[in-house]
Amino acid sequence: MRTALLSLLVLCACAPKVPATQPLVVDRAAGIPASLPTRPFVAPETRRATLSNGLTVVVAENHEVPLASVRLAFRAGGHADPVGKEGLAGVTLDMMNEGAGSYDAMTLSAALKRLGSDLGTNASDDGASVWASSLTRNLDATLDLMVTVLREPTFPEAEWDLLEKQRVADLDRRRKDPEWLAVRVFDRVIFGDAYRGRAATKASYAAMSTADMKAWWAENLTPDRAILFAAGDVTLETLVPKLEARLAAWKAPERTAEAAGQAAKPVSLATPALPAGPAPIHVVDRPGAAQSMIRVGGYVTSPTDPSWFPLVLANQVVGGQFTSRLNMNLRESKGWTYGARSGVSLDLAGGRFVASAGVHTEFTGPAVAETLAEIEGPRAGRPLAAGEVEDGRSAIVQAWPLRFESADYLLTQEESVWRYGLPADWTNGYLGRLNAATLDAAAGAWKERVDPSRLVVVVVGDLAQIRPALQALGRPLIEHDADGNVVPAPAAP
Amino acid sequence: MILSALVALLPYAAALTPVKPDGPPATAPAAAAGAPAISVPYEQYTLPNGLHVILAEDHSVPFVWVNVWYWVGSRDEKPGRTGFAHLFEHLMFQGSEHANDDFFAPLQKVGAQVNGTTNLDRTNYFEGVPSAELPRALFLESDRMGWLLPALTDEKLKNQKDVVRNERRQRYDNVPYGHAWLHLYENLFPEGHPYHVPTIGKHEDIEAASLTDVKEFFATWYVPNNASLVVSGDFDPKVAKELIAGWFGDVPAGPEPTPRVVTPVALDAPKVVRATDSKAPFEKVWLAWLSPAVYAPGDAELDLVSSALADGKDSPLYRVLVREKQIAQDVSVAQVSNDLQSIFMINATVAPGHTGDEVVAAIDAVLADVKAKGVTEEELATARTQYEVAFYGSISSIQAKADRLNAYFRKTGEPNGFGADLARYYAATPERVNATLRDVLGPNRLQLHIAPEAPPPPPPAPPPAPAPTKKSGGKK
Repeated sequence: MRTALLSLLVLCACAPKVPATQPLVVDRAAGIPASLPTRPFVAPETRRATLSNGLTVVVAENHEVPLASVRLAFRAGGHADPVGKEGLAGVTLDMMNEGAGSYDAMTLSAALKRLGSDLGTNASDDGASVWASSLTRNLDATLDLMVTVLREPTFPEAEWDLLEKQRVADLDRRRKDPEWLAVRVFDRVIFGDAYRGRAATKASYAAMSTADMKAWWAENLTPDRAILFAAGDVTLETLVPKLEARLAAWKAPERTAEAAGQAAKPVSLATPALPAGPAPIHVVDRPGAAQSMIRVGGYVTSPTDPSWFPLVLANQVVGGQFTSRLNMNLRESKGWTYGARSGVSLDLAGGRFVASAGVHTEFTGPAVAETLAEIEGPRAGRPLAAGEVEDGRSAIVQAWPLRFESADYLLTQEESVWRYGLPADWTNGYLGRLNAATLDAAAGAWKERVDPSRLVVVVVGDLAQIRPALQALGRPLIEHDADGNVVPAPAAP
Repeated sequence: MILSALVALLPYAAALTPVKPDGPPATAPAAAAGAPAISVPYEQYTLPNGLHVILAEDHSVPFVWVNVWYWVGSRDEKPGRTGFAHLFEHLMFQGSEHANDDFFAPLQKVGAQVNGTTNLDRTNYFEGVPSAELPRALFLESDRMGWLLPALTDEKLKNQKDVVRNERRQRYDNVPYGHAWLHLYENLFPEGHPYHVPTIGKHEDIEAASLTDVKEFFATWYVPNNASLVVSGDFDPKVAKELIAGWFGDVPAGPEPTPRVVTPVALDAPKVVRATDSKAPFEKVWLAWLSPAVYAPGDAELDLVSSALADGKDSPLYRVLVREKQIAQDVSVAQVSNDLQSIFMINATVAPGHTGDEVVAAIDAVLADVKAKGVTEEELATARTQYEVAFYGSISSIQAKADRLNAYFRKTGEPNGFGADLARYYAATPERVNATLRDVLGPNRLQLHIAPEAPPPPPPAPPPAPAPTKKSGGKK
């Protein structure tokens, strides 16, 4: 190491000294220096085509490195799992990678590895996808494998036996993960036994067969529920013939007019109302925990509601960035946490606001109180100020070009438009809509929609230590087990 | 800030870098046969105060990254002050004399991405700003390089001690197996070795840090002659050079820091450590060997060995442990590359109904088999392709490229080390790979078990006599 260091220093000494430029005269006392001229930025656009089987193809080019990716997204996911077979969509997609055509799990894995390619098959609550990425030079062979997995999965019994054991073990693993527990209980409180409130269990896995998976695959992974996104070192002109050659024969099943109409439309679920309030605090016991996980939130808007952009703007000030009120208070002033944040995000049920933090066990009670106070602030006592709202707006607007450094962001936005039924100009119109949101609109939307007394509050931590401080907040405590079920309360104190 | 310590543990070589294969080479390193010729154009020079400057244009979006490396990591901490290099990194975000505000405040409102990380060997700071805001980023970065201390207060120090201790709670104390890294480093590197305690440090040491420690550390390590600055992205070189000369030129140089001289260590016997963790759902086992430093002969070879052993369902370890015997839920292998000495590591999660000792025995059988047969050229060709892909993936962002330019400069003296880095994998022959495999993965290794509760007594006839067994609970 010593030798390496010496040689390095020698190199430094050999490097040319100061270039022939006039040093600028700087004045540190004057603070932040003036900006350079702004460079214009035009966001890249996608290009589209339709295959002969009706499948839409969306391409975002980026030729910086010789890599390409292709992803089929489906309007089908865990949200429609049959009662008693929760987890079916996820397992069906997982199993597609365990055998297809003449490949078994090992030969498929080996073939991909030789190409340096990845192939993934996954489902979430909101959707499913089959994707592949590869070196440009191996794209043809990779597409062949992807289409085999898409169209000819074999769902081998022996692979399900193995996967089921792994999935059951995963359930045990998650029960030990504080963040997962907070999310689980939060979703369960909001949705009960619907949508995100449901989760796979040992029993639901035991109730599934490979025949169920095959049926789910046949019904749902069809071109009329799909769209294809491609990114990277490809062009529409070269990709479409490759896809046409491999997918032209892929057709939707016969459907009734009503079923066909539904397949072609985004799924939309009812938006859960906030609790009438005053909301209790939902707790999960984790004896010995060094920190408590706090999660506060609820469904407060939807992306097509006029309140969406005003709420995005207000959230930026409350908890949407490092310098937000929430983080500056809980982290930089109090030192109770490594970070506290909040966000507004969308899913099939609408738009939700969630604030979260992991806090030192000792300060759990005050941290919950301060989190609720920061949410309450703009509604009463600490109104949003013009300066902080403009800084928050500027943070989003000026960061915009960076989002387009890779093709991923553009395609993620396009997928949201397709999956959630957003306006077609969602991406191009984003900054315009954000800039149209005024201070008054942000303050008004926050006051009307984000009432902390009605938000769901979840705390995962060492109850023996945090219970008294939580009780002192004056809300009832409801204890849940690791599956989100309510634990009967002990006799009243 | 939002990150740090664990970055230390990411293998450099496994996360190679990018750039157009056909870029005009500045100083093109000799490539091994078949290696893609990857090169990043750049220019470099050194200011009179010793600050090394590297400029690399990339006009793909109107953003520019400022990336500063200080050659100081947790290995440079004083006894009783573990975790200090990382705590210091946090203090660098608390304002400086001429910008005495949270470092994020003036940057976030212009859309900047800001962060810093500390590992065993170095500390880095970086911000991506809209091209027009390059003066702002250079002013702020230079001000904390030269004028951090006048703005520092005991209150800031106390606050960031709390934040850092919460970082430790969140990422190490409160998660299943979170103490695995601590056990690994503590048992592989002896007391007094700079790697004995990983970057995050001990709670009591973080708590003990004083303003005097901060001042001393700053004066010793945070001098321009111990730093290098990369500006990468959308900028005009002429303007950038003027700005850099203006803002960084008056940062005073300091005495040349002298990094500690450390001779490589070795385990003189096999070592078995059995720990418990009440948060762990299953037993997990690690086998770890001391291995060659990053970029040293054997480093890339061990990356290739890791791919050959456990990449894909058909790989020997995955096939035997997870599919055939079904005694493990997963298995992974990595060469964790560091500047002084690296760690080659195999870890697996034990399947319900089985034991860590069974899993270790099965891993040993696979290793014996692979050593006997040898990794083949075909397996190496497959693994090289994986590294080629990973390399492209890791160079596709401007920030990743900027950080890599600094890393290559720091570790090899040549910022444009992209092609040479990837070429190592193409130069590794089966003979070299197999010799490294047999040489490094010898009997003297650390075997770590972390079980949900007290482990069963070790099997009656253990392999070679283990060193003292250590127990530790899930809480500090």
